[in-house]
Amino acid sequence: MLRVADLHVFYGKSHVLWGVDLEVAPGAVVALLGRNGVGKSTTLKAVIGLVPARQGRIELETASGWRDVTHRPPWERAALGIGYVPEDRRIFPHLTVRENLRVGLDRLTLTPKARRQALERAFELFPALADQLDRPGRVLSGGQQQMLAIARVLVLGPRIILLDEPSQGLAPLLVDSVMDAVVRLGREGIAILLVEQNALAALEVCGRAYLMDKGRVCHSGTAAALRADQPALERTLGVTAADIAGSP
Amino acid sequence: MTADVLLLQLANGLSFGVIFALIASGITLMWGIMDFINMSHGELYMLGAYGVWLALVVGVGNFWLALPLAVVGVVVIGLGLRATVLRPIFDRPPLHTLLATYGVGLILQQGVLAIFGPFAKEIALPVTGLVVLGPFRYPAYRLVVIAVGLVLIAAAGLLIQRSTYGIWIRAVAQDRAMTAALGVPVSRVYTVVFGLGSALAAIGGALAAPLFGIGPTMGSEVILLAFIVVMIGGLGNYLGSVIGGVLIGEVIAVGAIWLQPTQAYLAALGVLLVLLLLRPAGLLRGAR
Repeated sequence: MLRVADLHVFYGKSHVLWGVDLEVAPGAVVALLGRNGVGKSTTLKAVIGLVPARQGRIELETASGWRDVTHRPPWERAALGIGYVPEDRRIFPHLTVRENLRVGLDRLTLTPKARRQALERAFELFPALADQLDRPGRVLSGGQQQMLAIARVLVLGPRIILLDEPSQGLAPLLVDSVMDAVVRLGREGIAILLVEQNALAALEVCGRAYLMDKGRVCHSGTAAALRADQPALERTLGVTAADIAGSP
Repeated sequence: MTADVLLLQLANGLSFGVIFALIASGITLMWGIMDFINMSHGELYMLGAYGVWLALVVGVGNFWLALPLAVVGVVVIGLGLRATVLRPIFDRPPLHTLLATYGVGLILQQGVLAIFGPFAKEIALPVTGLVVLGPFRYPAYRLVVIAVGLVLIAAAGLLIQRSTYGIWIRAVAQDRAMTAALGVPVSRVYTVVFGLGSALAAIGGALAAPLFGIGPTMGSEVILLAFIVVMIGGLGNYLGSVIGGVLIGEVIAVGAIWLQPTQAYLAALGVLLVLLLLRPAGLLRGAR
C-alpha cells in the first residue's frame, strides 16, 4: 500500500530524517513509535507532502499499480488516497463542521447518493458529529475535533490514513473510543499508519510497529514480538517491564 | 448647512465608498488569503476605466456592454501577470513580492501613459438625469453606481460564503497546508481569488470612469487609501473591507461640507489613524 525508502528530510539546515524505511500493507494497522522529536510526525508530513523529501522515495499502491509520489504536491497525494490527520487536528476554526467536511468532499465528483453515503458512514463511526453540523470548528471539544479530523479524511474514501497522535490531550475514555475507531477502520480495509506517544495503547491495536530513534527506524516487528522485546522497548521508548505488566 | 446638503454628501459618500469597497475587497482577499500584497492592484482599477473607454472608442455602443468587456479584459491581464511575473516569486519574502508588484504597477502605468497619452479621457454619463425624491434631487448615475456596486459586492460575498470555491478560499485563509492535504489544489484557489480581485477592481474603475475621468495615475491615487481601508476592515475580512470603504467615502464626502478636498482627505486619514490605534486588528476582528 505504502512504501517509504531511504527518506531524508531537512528543516532548513537541520537534518531531521536520516533514511527512514517502512512499509504498510493494504488494510494493515502499523504503528510508528518513539520518543519525542525522533521524527515520527515529520515522517507523516513527508508522506502527505507537507515537507519535501530531500532524498529517497515514497510510493503508493493505487488501482493502477505503484505510483512514485515523492515529488507530487499534497493535493495529488490526497486524491490518490492518502488521508492525513495531523497531531493538533487542525480543524478550520471559522468553518462549520459541515464546511470542514465539505473542504475535501467537494473536490470529489460524487453523485448526491454517494456523497450522502460517505457522510453517513462517517456519522456512523462518530455519531456525536451529526448533531454539530452547523457549529464552527473552534467551539468543538478536543474529542469532537479529533473525531472531525478523522471524519474529514474518512469521507474521502482513503486507502491509507496517516494518524498523528490521535489520543493526545484526550480523556482516557475518549482515548479508548478513538482507538476503537482505529480498529474498526482497519477492519474495513483502510490501512493506517499510526504515530502514538502512548506506545502501549498503540501496540494494542496495531499489527506491526516500527520503532524510531534519531531520525531512523531502529527496530521493527509484530506488535506481539515487540511487546515481548523488553530491551528494545526500554531503549527506544523508556517503557519498563512494570509498565507492560500493568497495561491491560 | 441644511439637511439637504448633508443628505447630498451622504449619498456622494456612499457612491465613493462603494468604489473604495470594490478596490479594497480585492486587496483584502489577496492579502488575507494568499498572504500576497499586490501593489499593482490600483492599476487593475485604472485598467478597468481605460477598458470601458477603449471599448466605447472602438465602437461598442453601450456602456453596459463595454463594462463586462473591460472586466473580462482586466481579469485576463491580471491572470496573465499572475502566471508570468507573480507566480515564480509567490513564496519569496514579502519584500520581494512588494517590490515586484510595485514594479508591475509602474510598468502598467507607464505603458498606459505611452499608449494613450497623459491627458485625462472622459466618457459620457451612461445614465443621465436627476432622480427626484420629494425635495431631494440626485444624479441618477450615482444611484446606479451605488446599486450596481452593492449588488456585485453582495454577489461576490455570497460566492465566498456559499460556493465550493468560497469554502476553499476560507479554508486556505485559515490553514493553507491542511487544505492542500485534504486534496484541494491550492494554486487553483489562488487563481480564482486573483481573478475575483481583479474583476472587483476593474468594476470599480469602470463605474468610476464617467464620474471622475480617466488617467494613468488614477490607480496610484486611490491605492493608499484602499490599503488603509483593508487594515480598518481587518486583514482578509471581506465584509470589513466593504464597511471600511463606505466609512472612508462618507468621511471624505461629509468632511467636504466644511473642508477643502485635501483637508477632507487628511481628515479621513486622521479617522483611520484613530481607528487603527483603537482597534489594531480591524473593525470586525477574527470573523472571516
